Amino acid sequence: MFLVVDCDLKKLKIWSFQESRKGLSVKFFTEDLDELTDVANLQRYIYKISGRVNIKAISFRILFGGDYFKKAELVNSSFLRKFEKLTEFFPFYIPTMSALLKKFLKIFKQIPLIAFFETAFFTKLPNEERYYALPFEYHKKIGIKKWGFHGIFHEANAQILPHNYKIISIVIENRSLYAQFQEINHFQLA
Amino acid sequence: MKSNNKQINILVLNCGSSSLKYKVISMPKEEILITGEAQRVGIKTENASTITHIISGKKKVIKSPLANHSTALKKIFNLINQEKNIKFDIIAHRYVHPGNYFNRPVRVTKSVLTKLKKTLPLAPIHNPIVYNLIKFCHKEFTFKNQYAVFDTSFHKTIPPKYSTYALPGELIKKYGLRRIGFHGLSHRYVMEEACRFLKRNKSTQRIISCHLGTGGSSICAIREGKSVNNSMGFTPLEGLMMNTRCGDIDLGIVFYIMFKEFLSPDEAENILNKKSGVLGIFNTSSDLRDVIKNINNDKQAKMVFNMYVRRVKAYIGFYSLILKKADILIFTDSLGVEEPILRKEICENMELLGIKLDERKNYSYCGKIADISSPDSEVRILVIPTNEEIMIAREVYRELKKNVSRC
Repeated sequence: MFLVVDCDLKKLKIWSFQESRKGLSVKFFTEDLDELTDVANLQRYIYKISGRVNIKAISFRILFGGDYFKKAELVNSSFLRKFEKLTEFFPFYIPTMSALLKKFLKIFKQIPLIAFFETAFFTKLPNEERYYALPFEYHKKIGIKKWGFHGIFHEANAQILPHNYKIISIVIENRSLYAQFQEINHFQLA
Repeated sequence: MKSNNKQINILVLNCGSSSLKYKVISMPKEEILITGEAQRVGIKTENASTITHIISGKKKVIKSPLANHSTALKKIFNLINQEKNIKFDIIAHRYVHPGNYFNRPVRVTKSVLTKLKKTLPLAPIHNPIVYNLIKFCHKEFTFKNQYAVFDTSFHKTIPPKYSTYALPGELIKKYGLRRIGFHGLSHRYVMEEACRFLKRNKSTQRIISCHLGTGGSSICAIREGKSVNNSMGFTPLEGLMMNTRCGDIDLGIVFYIMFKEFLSPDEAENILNKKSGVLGIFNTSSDLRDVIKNINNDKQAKMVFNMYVRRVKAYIGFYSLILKKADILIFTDSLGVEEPILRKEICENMELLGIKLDERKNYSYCGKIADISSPDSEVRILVIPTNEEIMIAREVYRELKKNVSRC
């Protein structure tokens, strides 16, 4: 079984992926973060989801990775030190996510925990696309630049097709956004 | 005016954010008696401020510090007054943003001034300057015949699907929030000139007009002689990156900067209007011409240039879609006319949209209206020096004739 974990400031959302003879079964679970304040509660909740099946890996959807995280990374203590440096950008989200990751690390010492970032796919945007026409000190001092979001969706879309394809990828949820790719090097993002 | 065809000399003042163009135009013949421009007014650049004054083909260039537009105008009046045989009857001002108060030229009266005063925050770079110039003219010369001509009138035809912002309806209604559009005088002038030059009827043409100035810049999509979209919005802050204006940015940044830097709304507005754009990134100058001089040996200059070009290309692409491909692409105003490398980079890899530049024609362009497109380009690419002053004089003269008819 694999788990995919997503969380906002209030809810923990988990998808479980279990392969069997019948095929892949996907289940969705959600719980208030308030109910999972300590490690023991979280452990009970996860075991309720997985039953007696072994969990092979857990991945996390993380909204923001700044310039530190340009690809998916294993969650460990050095990862967390870097991750917490991003707190100033998202002062509520980063500490919440960091606390959750620490709990998972305590429970699942032997299972790979992997963080996927919504912004990683856009770290190679050309500078002329990334920077805004604002005083340059803001880019250096407080990190004002186009970070991009929905990168996990767009990267998945880009990987469906061969690398020499030029793609316009559209994600429509409550907000909409599009990205254009050229050989998987995206060059413009709304 | 007692007769509909009486000759009248109009001093047109066309105030940009960093320039002051002026012309004394004899109407209705449209004869230019005096022309000139104060450049690099009130800004930090590598070169000195100048006034170029031309009369009967004789050109005088005066280098002089021009701390603000009033100083420039005083010097311009001194130059004009030296010409004993030329007097002007009316002063006509280009006024950028009249809010929802005016959509046609208006004679400045006390009540008009009161209304104009209310519009100052709408275009904080332009409106206060012109408002002060109108007051200055009135005070210095007790000059009563002053007209304000508006840059927004041409964009009245932008359809709601492009002029409506995704904001709460009550706010839209209460404050008249919509895409108003700017540089209308220039876009209209070059549109008419392009059709005249190519001998085409404007009612059949789809045109993208790029007004690229050293101060403000905007792009306009024109169908059948009418504006259907403009890159500037409710204020001239939206759209392209400009000399000191940021143009399109993520609005979330504004709140973020205000929070991080403890900025008041006024301070934030000042940064977005006066400390951003080319100046914000390049730092030593707000003039893209200074950037272009350094693009081969300065990484930052290269990036600023690329940022500028990308934004222009994005709008040309968008407007090509709106128009279902353009027939004519126009470059105008100082950067559009003077910088072949800018036109070259903007037109690069635009064959998909039918845009193909002839490099030789582009680099050999000198001064007048010219077609610089490759013979196999589907879109005719024209360079047209703008002449907002003629448009302003025409509009004022039309207004005067209407008033005479009413009498």
